[in-house]
Amino acid sequence: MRILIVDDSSVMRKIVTRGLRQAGFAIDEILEAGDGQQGLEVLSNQTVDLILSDWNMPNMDGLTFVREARKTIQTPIVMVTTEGGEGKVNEAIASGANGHIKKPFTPDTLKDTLGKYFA
Amino acid sequence: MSGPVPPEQQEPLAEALKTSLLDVLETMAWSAVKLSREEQHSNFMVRGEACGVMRVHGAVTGLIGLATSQYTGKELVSRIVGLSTDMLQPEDITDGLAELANLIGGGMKAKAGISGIHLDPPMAMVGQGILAEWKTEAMTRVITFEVGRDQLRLYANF
Ligand SMILES: [Mg+2]
Repeated sequence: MRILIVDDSSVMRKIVTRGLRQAGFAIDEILEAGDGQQGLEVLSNQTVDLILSDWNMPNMDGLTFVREARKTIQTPIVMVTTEGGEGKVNEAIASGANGHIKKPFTPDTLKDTLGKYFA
Repeated sequence: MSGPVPPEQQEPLAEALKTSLLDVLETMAWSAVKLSREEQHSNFMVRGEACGVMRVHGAVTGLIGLATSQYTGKELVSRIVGLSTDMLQPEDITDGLAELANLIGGGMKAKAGISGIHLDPPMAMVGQGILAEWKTEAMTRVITFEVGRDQLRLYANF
């Protein structure tokens, strides 16, 4: 599995990476992007199996990133955010996101929510 | 809906925030965090060397703050990312404190059971003897935790 983590916080990208490893997922490679625009650039020349994206980011936010990515790829995208309001989650799903993980999360939460993508 | 937080919601919010801080630090592998004392202040004044502040709006309006020493700030960030302190750059510390404030606010949202709470992007400051004030009309609860031999203060202004 190749995973792309899109988040403007390098600390949060490390936390997510650590959580994925603690959850015990078989990961071949983790790619990182600092905003939606960089995420699209990564996707334009690399293939990944799962994308985890933050919501609030400079240049291009998570929602715009999902909309733009969906024009070309169908890779599962899971939002990782404290913006857990139902309206926002529904908006993300309607725009093409596959799921949502609330921050803070535990390795168990990651296992439960992301397990199906590793099956 | 916005505006001052009704008195009956202040206590549950502060409790949710406290529990969230303990949860976040515990799940992020900090072993010894203990609630030490709680005070009421008439202003929102954050004191420390490593501070994070975040505005809360929507269903409730307020401010959340975190403050500790540079040593503990660095130690906390090193533990949540799983890297040793000497591998961390100064900007990792501000980034980490800001994300820590965000995680604790996110946990508070989930635990408070009040829908429509929004968190603004947090800000963080690292330096010697920081004293930062955010003007507000609400009272601030200053909750002190013991973290190892050090202290960490949580500011709840609702
Ligand atoms: Mg962000």
